[in-house]
Amino acid sequence: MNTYEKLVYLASNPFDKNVLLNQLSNESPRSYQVVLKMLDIDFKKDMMAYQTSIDMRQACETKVVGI
Amino acid sequence: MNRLVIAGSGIKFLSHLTFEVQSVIQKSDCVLYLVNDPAMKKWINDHSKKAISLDEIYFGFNKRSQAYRSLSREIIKITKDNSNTCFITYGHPMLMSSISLMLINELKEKSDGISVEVLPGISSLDCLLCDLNIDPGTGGIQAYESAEFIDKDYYINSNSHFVLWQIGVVGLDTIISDESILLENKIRYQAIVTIKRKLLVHYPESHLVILYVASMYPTLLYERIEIPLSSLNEVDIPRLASLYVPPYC
Repeated sequence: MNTYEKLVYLASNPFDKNVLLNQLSNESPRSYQVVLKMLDIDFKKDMMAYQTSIDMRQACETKVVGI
Repeated sequence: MNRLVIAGSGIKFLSHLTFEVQSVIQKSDCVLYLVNDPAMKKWINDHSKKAISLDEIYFGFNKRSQAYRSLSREIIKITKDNSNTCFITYGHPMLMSSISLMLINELKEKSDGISVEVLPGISSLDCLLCDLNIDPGTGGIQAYESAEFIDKDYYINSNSHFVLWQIGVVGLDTIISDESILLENKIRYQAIVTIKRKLLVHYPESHLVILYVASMYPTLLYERIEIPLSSLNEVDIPRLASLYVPPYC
């Protein structure tokens, strides 16, 4: 499973201790930035194989005062 | 009559996507999305009839207000061409989302044959209440957007729970495409100093406050930085952080 597939799996199997986001380490990554990097690597591979690209930019701010 | 559903995808990837919103994504003729998580973007692309990312429009502007207006116009334009359209934003669509409110107001004004429905998502506030074990039914809760808190003189009840949203980007009204600029930004730093000064009128310097970031992915822990209020301008405040100030009694 790649990182995306693991995330989908873990969303519906939250108690499964056998699937780890990072198989090289026994611990889950500590920050979302680490997961973003892992996803980026996977999506770049996907893009080469299937020509589909996912924009990695984050639209985090959706509120501004005064409008 | 064409229909627009405005919905939230929650904070934690897929775990927070309600059954109702999943169904809307799968059944809509067109899904427009503006989210902060690339995994969510892929899920929407894989599970919808037609999906359109709004990233290009969002990141095409310098000022956020301009981007939101442009996004609102684009969403309405596409809704006119499809019987069932949905717009997905992350978190809760009516919490910290200028675009949702703009869309609703514009459609109410024009009423040009489009009905609008808003579906809830799990918000950062929902996550904060769970992770920090807070029940606002005891003591009540006050919550403000950080820039608005600076601009207005709201009455603060220091016996209540107190939350400031978007403190990580306070003072900035621009699109942020590079997170590293935040730490060096002087306007942001001054805004944080102002927040601290306003809070110190009601709380002692030693009062412990929490910078909180909800978990974005299954198995990841939330972030919690506990500091005395006096140190608020001395720590690296994460971009996605909310500030939680516990009651002082």
